[in-house]
Amino acid sequence: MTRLRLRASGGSAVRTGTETRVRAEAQPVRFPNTNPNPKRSSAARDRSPGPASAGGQKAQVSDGRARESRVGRESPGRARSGGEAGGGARRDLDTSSTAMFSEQAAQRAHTLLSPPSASNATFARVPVSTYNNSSQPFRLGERSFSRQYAHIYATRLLQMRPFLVSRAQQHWGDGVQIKKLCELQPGEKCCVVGTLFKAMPLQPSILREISEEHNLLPQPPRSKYIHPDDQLVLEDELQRIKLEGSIDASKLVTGTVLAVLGSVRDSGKFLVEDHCFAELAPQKPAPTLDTDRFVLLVSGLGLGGGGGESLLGTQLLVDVVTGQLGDEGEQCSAAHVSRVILAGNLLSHNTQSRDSINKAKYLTKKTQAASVEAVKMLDEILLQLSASVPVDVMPGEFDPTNYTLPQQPLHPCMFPLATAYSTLQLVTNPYQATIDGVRFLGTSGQNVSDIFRYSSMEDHLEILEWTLRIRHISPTAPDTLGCYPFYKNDPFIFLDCPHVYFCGNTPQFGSKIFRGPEDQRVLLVAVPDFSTTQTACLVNLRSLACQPISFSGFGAEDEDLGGLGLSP
Amino acid sequence: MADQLYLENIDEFVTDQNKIVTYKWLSYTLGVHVNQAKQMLYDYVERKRKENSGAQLHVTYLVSGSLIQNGHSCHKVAVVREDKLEAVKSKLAVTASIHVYSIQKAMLKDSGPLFNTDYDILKSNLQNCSKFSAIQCAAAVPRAPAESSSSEKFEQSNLQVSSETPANHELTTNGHSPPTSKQILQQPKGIMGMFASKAVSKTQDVNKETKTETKEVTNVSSVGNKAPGKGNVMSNFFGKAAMNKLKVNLDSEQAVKEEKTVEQPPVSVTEPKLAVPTGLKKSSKKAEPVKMQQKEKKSNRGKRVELSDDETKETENMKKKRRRIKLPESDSSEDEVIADSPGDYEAESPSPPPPPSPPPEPVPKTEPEPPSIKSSSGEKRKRKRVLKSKTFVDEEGCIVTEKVYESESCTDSEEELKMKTSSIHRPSTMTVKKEPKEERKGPKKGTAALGKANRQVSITGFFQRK
Repeated sequence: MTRLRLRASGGSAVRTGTETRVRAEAQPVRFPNTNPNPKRSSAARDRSPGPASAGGQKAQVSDGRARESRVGRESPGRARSGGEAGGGARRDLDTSSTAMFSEQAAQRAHTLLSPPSASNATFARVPVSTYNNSSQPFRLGERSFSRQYAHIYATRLLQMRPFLVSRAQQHWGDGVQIKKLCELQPGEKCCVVGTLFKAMPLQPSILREISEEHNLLPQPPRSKYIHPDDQLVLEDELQRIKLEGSIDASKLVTGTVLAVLGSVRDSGKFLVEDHCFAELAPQKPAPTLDTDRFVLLVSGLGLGGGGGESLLGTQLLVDVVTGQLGDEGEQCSAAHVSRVILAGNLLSHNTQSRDSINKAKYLTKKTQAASVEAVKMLDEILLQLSASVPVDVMPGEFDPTNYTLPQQPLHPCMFPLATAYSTLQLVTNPYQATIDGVRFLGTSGQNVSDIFRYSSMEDHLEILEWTLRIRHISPTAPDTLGCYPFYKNDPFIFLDCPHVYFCGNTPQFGSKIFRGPEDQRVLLVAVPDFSTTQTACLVNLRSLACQPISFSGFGAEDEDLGGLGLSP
Repeated sequence: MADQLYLENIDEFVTDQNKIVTYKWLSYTLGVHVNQAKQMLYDYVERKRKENSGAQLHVTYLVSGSLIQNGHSCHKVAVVREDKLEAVKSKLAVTASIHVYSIQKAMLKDSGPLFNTDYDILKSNLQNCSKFSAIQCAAAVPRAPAESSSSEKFEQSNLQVSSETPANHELTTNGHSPPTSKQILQQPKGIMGMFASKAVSKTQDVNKETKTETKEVTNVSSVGNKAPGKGNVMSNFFGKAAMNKLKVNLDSEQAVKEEKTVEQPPVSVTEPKLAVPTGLKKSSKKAEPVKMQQKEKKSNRGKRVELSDDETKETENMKKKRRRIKLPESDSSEDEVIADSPGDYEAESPSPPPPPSPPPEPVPKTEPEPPSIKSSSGEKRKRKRVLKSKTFVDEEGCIVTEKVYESESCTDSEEELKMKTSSIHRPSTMTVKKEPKEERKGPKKGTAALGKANRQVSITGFFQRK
C-alpha cells in the first residue's frame, strides 16, 4: 500500500490546459487498440512479483521507466504544436472543430485500458480571468409588501416608453404620430404605447372561486389557460381600450409593453394595423477569447424526489466536472469548465409536501420535513463541486427561499459543508453575471413556464426569444407570477442585452443563436430539467456554442438504450 | 511495481468480501489517483480473464463521447454493462473515453448499487473529495475564518442529529442510502421503529438496569469506551477506514469477548437487533441480586456512556449487547467486571466521579466521553419533563386521553408506565424475569416498540388499579 501511494504522489505531473489544443490532431485510439505504448505494458506485465521487501525499490525503478516512455510519446505532439503556432493555423482549428466539449475530450489517446501507469495527469482548473456578478438589481433591500402592484406597471410603462417610441419611429417612420389614449380621435391613424392586458375567461381567479363557491367544482388544473375568447386590452397611464384587428391575442400575454399602430373605430375599439416590440437592448461586443472555456448550466437536480435513478446521473455529472470520470482527454476538457451555474429547483417538488399542515399534529410530530434530507444531500453535492470549481447556485420554484421573484439567495446556513469554500456562491434567481466578458442572464424558468401557460407559444426556447424581443424578462410577473411590489423601477427590463440568455427547468434541451436588429448575437439556452432528462448544458465562452451533456446508468435497460438510440 | 499488492487487494474486495468495487471506491480506499484506480481495475480484470478465473466477474464500463441526438451533438456519459459496451460504442460518433467503472461478482440489474457504493465511500471522504481527482482547482480554497466556524457547525449538526435520531445517524454512517434512513425516520413504529428508537430505549433501560446492577453499567461503560478504540484498531489493521465493516467489527468483538470472559451466543452475533432485548433481559436477571444504592450513582454514568456509544456507531452498540450477554453468563465474575469498568473510567476520563472499587483493567481509549456526557444530560432533562407531564395526566384520570398519546409517542414515559403498569405488567415480565427492575424494562420496551400497545396497556392498567 505504501508503494502505491509512493507512485501516486511521485509521478503526478501538473499539466496545463493548453495541451489539449496542442494535440488537436492526434487521432483518438479506439478500444480495443487500447495500449498506445506496448513497450510500457509489457514491461509492467513481465515484472515478476518480487518479495515485499524489495518492492519499494522496484516501484521506483519502474516509475522512472514509465515516465520516460510517456515523455517519449508526448514529444511529437509538442513539436507539432510549435509548427502550428508559427503557421497561424491554430486559431482556425480551434474554432472549427474543437468548439464542442466532446471533440476536445476525444483528442487524447486512451490510457485507462492499460495496466497502472506511474504518472497520472492532474490538470489545473482553468480559471476565468474576470468575473463580475451584476445581479444587484435583483437583490431586495428593505422588503415592504404594503404597496399595490399598480406601481410596477406604471414604472414599467414609464421605463419602456422611450424604447418603444424610438422603435416605433424606426419601424413606421419618423412621421408617425405617437399619442396617449386620452388624446385619441376616432378614425385618426396613430401609434399608441401601452401595457397589454389579456382578459382570459380561463384564468384562475380566487375571487371567482369564492363568489361562485356554492355550485362550482374547483377548476381542473390545466397546462394552458388560453381560450379563443381571450380579449386584449391596451392600458396606458390613464385609461384602457380594447384591441382588435391584426394582433394575435393568443400569443401575447398580460404585462407586455408594446406599441400599436391603428385607429379608434366607432365601436370604441382600437383597430390594430401593426404592432411592434421594444426588441433587443443594446449589447456590448462579445470578447474575443483565445482559449476554450466552458460554463456548465444545470437545472432541476430535484433532490429528495424519491426517484433514486437520477442520483447516479447527478453523481456522474459531478464526477465529470470534478475530474473523476473519464479518460485524460475528458478530464482535461473538464478542467476547462471554469464555472457551474445551478439554475434552480435543486430540490424536488416532492419536498414541499403539505402533509404536516393537514395531518393531526401528533401524527407528524416525529416526521422530518422532506427537504431536510434533500438539503443535506445538496450540501454534499455542492461540497464536491465547490471543492473543484466555482459554483453559482440559483434558487428555483421549489427551493427553500422566498417564492416571489426575484428570489433571494438560499441561506448559507443550509450548506455548512459547502460554504467552507469561497468558490460556492449563492445567487439570486434572475441571475446576471459577466464571465470573462460574456454577459450571462438567466432564470430558473418560472417566467418562461408562466408565459407558456398563458400564451399559445409551445416552445420554451421560442418564449425565451420572445421575452428578449419584448425586452422584459417576466411580463406576467405581478399578474400570474409572484413578484415583489417594486415601485421605483422594474428590474426585469433588459437594460442591456446578454450574450447568453438561459432559462432552467424546461422539459427538453434547446439552444440557438438569436440575432437582433442591431446585430446583437445572443445564445439562447433552454436548460432541461436534470432529474427527468439527465442532461446539462455546456456553453463555450469563446465560441458561444452550446452542447448538451447527458448521463445514464443502465437501470432501466430499454429506456437507456432508447436514449442512446439503440432501440430499433 | 506493486502489482501483486493491489491485485491481491482487489481480489480480496471482489471475491472474498463480495463488494462492488468502483474505481472511485478503490481510489479512496487505496489512496491512489482515480486514473490509476481505473487502470488497476482494468489490469485486474485482464489478468483474471487470462487465468480464466474471471468468468464470474461482472464489469461495468464508463463510456463517453459525442452522440448525434435530435440534431444536436450531445456529449453522452454512460455507465454500461460489459455486454452492452460494444453496442453503445458503436452509437457514439466520437468516443472520448472508456474505462472500467466497477467490478463485482454479482450481476447488477441496475446501476443503483454503484451509486450507493460511491456514495458511502464519498460520505466518509467528503472533506477531501477532490484529493485524488484529475482536476485541481486553485481557487477552491477553504475560507479561513469561515472554515472553522463551518466545521464547528458541521460537528454540531452531527451531534444534534445523533442525539435526536441516533438510529438514523447510524444508518447513514453504515452506508445505507439516505432515502432508506429517511423512511425509517418517518416510520418510527413497528419493527423498524423499534430499532430506530432502540438507542433511546436502551439508554433508558440501561439507566434503570444500572441502578439495579452495578455490574452492567460498568460493563457497558467499559465497552463503550473500548468500542471506538477497537474500531480504530481494526481500521488500522486493514490499513483504511473504509475497510472496517460490520463483519469485521463483529469478528473483532467476538475475539475480544472470548478473551475477556465466557461464551457468547451466536444468535446475538448474527442478529444484533434481536440480541438487544435478549441481552437486556439477561442482564436484568443478573442485576436483580445486585444492590440498588450504589448502582444509582453509577447508573448516571452508565447513561452518559451509553449515549456516547449511541452516537458513535451501531457496531459499538452491538458490542455492548454482546458484553451484556456475557455478563449474565459469568454471574460469579460480575463483581470483577464491575470493578474493572469503574477503573477504566477513572483512568480514561476524570470528569465523571468514579464510584466504588477500582480494580484495574486495561481499557485504553476513552476520548469521546465529555461531550457525550453533556448531550446526555440535556436529553435526560427533556425526558424527565415529558414524564412529569404524563404522570400529571394520569393522575387527572382518563378524561384526557389525547394527551396521554402524545406523551407516550415521545417514548419518554418510562416512569409513568412503571408507576401505572408495574402491577399489571409484572405477571408478563415476571414470566421472563422475577424482579422489579425487569418490570420496568418490559414497559419501556413496549413504549419504544409499539405506541398502540403502550396506550392499551396504560389504560388497562389504570382500570385495574381502580
